[in-house]
Amino acid sequence: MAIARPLQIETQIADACATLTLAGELDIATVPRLQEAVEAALASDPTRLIIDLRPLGFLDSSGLRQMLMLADRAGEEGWELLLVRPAEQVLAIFQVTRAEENLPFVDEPPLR
Amino acid sequence: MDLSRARKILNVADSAFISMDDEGLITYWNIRAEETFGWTREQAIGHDAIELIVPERYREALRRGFRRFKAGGETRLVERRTEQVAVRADGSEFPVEVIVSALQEEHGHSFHAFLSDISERKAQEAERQRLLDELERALQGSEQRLQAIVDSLAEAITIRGRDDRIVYANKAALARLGMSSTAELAAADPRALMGSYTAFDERGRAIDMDDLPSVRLLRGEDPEPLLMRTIDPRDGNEAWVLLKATAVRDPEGRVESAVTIIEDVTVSKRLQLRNEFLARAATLLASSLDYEQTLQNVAGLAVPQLADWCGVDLVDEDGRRQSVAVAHVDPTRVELAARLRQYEPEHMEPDRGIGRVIATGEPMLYNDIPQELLEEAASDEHHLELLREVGMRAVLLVPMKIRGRTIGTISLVSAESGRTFDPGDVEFAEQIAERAALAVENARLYSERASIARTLQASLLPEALPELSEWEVAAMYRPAAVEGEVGGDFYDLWEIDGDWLMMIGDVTGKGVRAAAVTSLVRHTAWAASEFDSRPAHLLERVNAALRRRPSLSVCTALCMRISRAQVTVASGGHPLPWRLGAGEVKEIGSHGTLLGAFANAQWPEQTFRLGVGESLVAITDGVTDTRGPDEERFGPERLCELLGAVCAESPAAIRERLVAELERFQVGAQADDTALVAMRHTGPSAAREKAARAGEDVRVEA
Repeated sequence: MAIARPLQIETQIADACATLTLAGELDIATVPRLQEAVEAALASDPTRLIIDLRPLGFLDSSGLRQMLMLADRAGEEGWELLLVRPAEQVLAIFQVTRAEENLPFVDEPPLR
Repeated sequence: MDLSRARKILNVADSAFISMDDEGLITYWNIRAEETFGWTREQAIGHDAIELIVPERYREALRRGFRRFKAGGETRLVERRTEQVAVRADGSEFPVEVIVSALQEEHGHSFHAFLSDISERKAQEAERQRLLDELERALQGSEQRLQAIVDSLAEAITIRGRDDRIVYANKAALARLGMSSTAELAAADPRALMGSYTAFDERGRAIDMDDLPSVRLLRGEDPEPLLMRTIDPRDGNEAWVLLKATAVRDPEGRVESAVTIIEDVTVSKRLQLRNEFLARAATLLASSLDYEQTLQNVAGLAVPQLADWCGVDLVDEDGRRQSVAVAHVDPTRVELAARLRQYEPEHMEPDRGIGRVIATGEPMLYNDIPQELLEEAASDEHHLELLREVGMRAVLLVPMKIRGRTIGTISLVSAESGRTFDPGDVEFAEQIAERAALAVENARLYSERASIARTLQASLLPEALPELSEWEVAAMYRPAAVEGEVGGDFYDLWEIDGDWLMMIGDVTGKGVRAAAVTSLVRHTAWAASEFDSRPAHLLERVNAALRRRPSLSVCTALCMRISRAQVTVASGGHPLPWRLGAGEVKEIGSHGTLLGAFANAQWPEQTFRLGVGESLVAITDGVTDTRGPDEERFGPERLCELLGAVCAESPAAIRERLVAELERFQVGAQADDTALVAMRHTGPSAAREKAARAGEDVRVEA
C-alpha cells in the first residue's frame, strides 16, 4: 500500500509566472499532490510554469513521467515549462533516461 | 322491617355482622363473621360477644362502656366508627373497624355491629407513616438537597435506606419499576426488584444490585455515576439509564440513605452507540479484503450491543446459502449458534426466513416469538430442542443489498437479554447490512481483479528461463505490495539465430494499462529481432511503437544480445547492467533515451567480451529505489557493494543475496516492482555440467 510520503510544495504566483518549489520526495505516492498543485497553479492561467526541483531529495519514474506529461501539455496548451535542475542524485534519473537533454532544464529560475 | 329478610341480606354482606341482646349475648352471626373470627354460627349464638371476640385485656373497658350506655349515658362505642382489637378463635389478634347500632327493644336494647378486618389497611398506614418519617428524616436539615430533588422531579428518583430497601420513589421511578405505590415498593425485596430487570453495563456485563451507586454509597464507597442498559422483562424494551447517587447523612455524618437520580439517556446513548458502531464497522469493512473475516468482525461488533447473537449469510451464484459469520455475546455459545444454523436449509424457501428476505429484499422482524412458531420452524426434534435452548425472544433479519440485489442477510437474535427490536433497530441494522454488502461486493470485485492481475502478470514473464549455452541465468520478479495490480516490470530472454536476446524493462504506471504497454513492448521487440537483432534496433522499434500510442506511454528497457562470450548492450533510459569481474564491479554501456518519450532519441551500443566466471546483473529501479530507514533509498552504492561481495557466486546465489538484503533493508511495504536478471559466463567447457543443474527462475511473492 502506498503511504503518503512527505512532499512539500510551495507555490508562488506573480506576473503570469507560477513557481512550484518541491522539497522532499516525489514518487508514486506524492505525485497526486503535485498534480493538484499544478492544477491550482494553472488555474491562474500563467504563461510560464517553473518547477524548482533543487530542494527535492528523491524522484522516481512516476515523478519523471509527470515531468514528461507536463512538457507535452505545455506544448499543447501554449505555456512555457521550466524545470530548475535538481541536485545530483535526483538528476541521475534524468541522465539515465536522457530526459535531461529533452526537457527544459535551467540552472536557476530566471529573474523575470 | 322484617328482621329475617334483613338478616338474609346481611348474611352476604362484605363485613362481619353480629347482633346481640341486651345482655350482650350473640343472637345473629353472619357468614363473614364466621370467616373473620373463626367461630361457626352454632358456636357463636348465645355466647357473650365481648367474651368471644375481644381480647381479655379490653373486655372490662368495653363492658363499662355498654353499661354506661344502657344507663342513658354517652359512649363512643355506639353509632360511631371505632377501631378495636379483636381476637379470633385461634387466639390471634387483629385490628377491626367497628360500628355499633343500638335499637330500643321491648326490654332494654339490642345491639348490631359491623366489624371489618383492617389488618391490611393498618399495615399500609403504618408503612406509610414509617416512610414519611424516613423521608422526613432524609430530607431534614438539608434545604438544598430538598430543593434539588424537587427541581428534578421529571427524573425518576429513589431513596434507598440503610437496609437497602427503597423507601421512597417518585412517580417516574415507580413507573420504571412497575410499581403502583411506594408502599408496594417498600414492601418488595430490593434484590427481587433488581432481578426483575435485566441490566448490563456498557461492556455488556450483568449488573448486580451491589454495583448500584446507591448501594455502594451506603457501603461507604464513593461511586461514580453508573450507565446501565436495562431490558424490561415485560415488553422487552431496551433503555439506557444513568444512575447518580447522593448520600443523605445523619447529624453524625453517617450515610443514612442514598438518593438516586435515574436519568433516561436511551435516545442519546443509542445515537452515540450507533455512530460509534457505524464508525467501527466502516473501519472494519474497509480494512480488509478478506470479507469473511471482515463480516465475522462486524458480527462480533453487533453483540451484545444490538443482539445476543448475530449471523451473516451470503447467497452464492447458485442461490445457495453460505453461513459466513456467527458471533455470540458468550463465546461458548457460538458453537450452539453454529449448530443451529446448520439446520437452515442450504437452498432457501422463498416464502420464509432468510429465503424470504433474500427474495423480497425486505427486512423481517419477529418480536416475542411464540412456541408454535418454533415448532413450525423446527425440522425435527433435535432442531426444536436447539431452538428452545437458544431461547429466542426476537429475531430480526435484514437484507444485504447492493444496487437493488440482495446478496445475503444479517440475522440478529435476541435471547438471554430478553430485549425486543424496535423500528429504530431495524433501520440501524439495515444501515449496517448495506455497508457490509458494499464491503463484500468490493472484496469480490477485488479478488476477481487480483486473479486477472496474476494471470496477466504471468503472461508477461517467460514461463521458464531457457537453457543458454555457456551461460548460467537466474531471474527474479517481485511485484509491489499493492495486490491486484499488474506491475510494470518485465524481463525476457529469447533465442535468435543461435544468439540470445535479453530484455529487462519497466513500464511507468501500473494496472491493465501498463500491462498493455508491456505486451506491446515485448511483441514489438520479438518481431523486430526477426529482421535485425541489434539491441539499438530493437529499442528504436519499441520507441516508435510507443510513440504511435495516443497517450504518453513511456518505458525503460535494457537490451543485451549475447553471442557466446560476447555481449552487446544498449539502454533505453534503463539503469545500466553491472559487470562482476575479477574483484571489480562496474556499470557497463552508455545511457540511451527513454522509450516513447522523445522525438530526439539515441541508443548507443557497446560490446563487451566476458571472461569465464564473470557475471552480468541487470535490475529495475525498484531495487535501488527500495526505501529503508530514515527515508534512505537502497541506492546504487549499496547495490555495488553487495555485488562486490557476491561477484564470484552463481546467479541464483546473487539473486538470493539481493532479495535477502532488500528485505532486510526495506521499511514498510514494498512500493514498486523489483526485477533482476543475473547471468554468469561459464564458458563452453561447463556447458554440459551446467545442463544438469538447470538455471531456474524464481518469482518471489510479496
